[in-house]
Amino acid sequence: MSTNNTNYSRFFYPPGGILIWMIVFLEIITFGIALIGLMYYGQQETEVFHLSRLKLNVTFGVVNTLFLLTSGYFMARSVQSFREKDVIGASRFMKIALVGGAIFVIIKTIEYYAKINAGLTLDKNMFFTFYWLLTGFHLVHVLVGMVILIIINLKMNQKNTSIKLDDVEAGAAFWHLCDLVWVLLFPALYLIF
Amino acid sequence: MKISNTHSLLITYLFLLLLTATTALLSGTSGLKQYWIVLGILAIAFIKFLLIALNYMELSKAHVFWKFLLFFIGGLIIFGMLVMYQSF
Repeated sequence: MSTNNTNYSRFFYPPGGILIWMIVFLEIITFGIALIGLMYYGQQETEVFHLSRLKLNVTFGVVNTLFLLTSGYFMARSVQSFREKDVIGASRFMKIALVGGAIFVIIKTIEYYAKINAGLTLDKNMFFTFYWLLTGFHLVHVLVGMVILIIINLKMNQKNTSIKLDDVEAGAAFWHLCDLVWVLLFPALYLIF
Repeated sequence: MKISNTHSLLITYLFLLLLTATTALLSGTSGLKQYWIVLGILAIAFIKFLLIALNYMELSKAHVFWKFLLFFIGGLIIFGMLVMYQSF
C-alpha cells in the first residue's frame, strides 16, 4: 500500500491524476451539451415537455439524489481514511458508498419499469428521448463506477496489496463524476419544465 | 479555529442535503415568476456541482488551472441552459 503525500498543486497532479480529470471534464462537457439541447427543445415544445415532466416521479428523483450524495460523502471519507493508512476504515466506507450506489440502481430500475409499463418509452416524445438517453447513460456510469469500486475494494483487502493512493483517488473521482452529472440532470429533467 | 478534514466533509454533505431540499421546495413555489424559479434551481445546482468537485473530489487542492476549468465549464453549461430557456 502506498499513501505517499502528493503535491496536488502541481499542474499534472490533480487528485487522482491528470487522466481521470480529462475523462471527468470530457464527460461533463458531453452531458452539458445534451442538457443545453434539452432546454432548447423544451422551449420549442413547451406544452409537451411540461406534461411529460409531470409524469416523472419527483420523489424518486429526490430520494436518488440523497442516496448519491450520501454515497459520495462515504467515498470521500474512504479516500481520507486510506490517506491516513486506515485501510480497514477505507474499505468499510467504500462498501457503504457501494450500498448507496446499489440503492440508486434499484430505485432507477423501479422507475424505469413503471415508465415502460405506462408506455413512456424512448420514442414517446422528445422529452422522453432525452430522459431515457440522459438517465440511461448516467446509469451506465454508476454501474461502471460500482465495478471500479468493487475491484479497488477487493484489492484493498488483499494482504501486501500494491494498491496506491492514486488508484483510490482515481476510482473516487469517477464515482463523484456520477454525483456531478446527477446534480445537473436531476433539476433539468425533474423540476424545470 | 481550523476545521478538520472530516468535519469539512460532513459540513459539505449537510449543506448538499440542505440545498437539495431547498431545490425541491423552490420547484413547488407558485408565487414567483417561472424564470426566477428556474434561475434559482440552476444556481443551486451550480453550487452543488462546485461543492462536490472542490470538497469531495478535493479539486480545491489542485492547480488553479483545474479550478478555473471547473468554474468555466460548469458556469458555461448553466449559462447555456438559462439562455436556451429564455430564448423563445
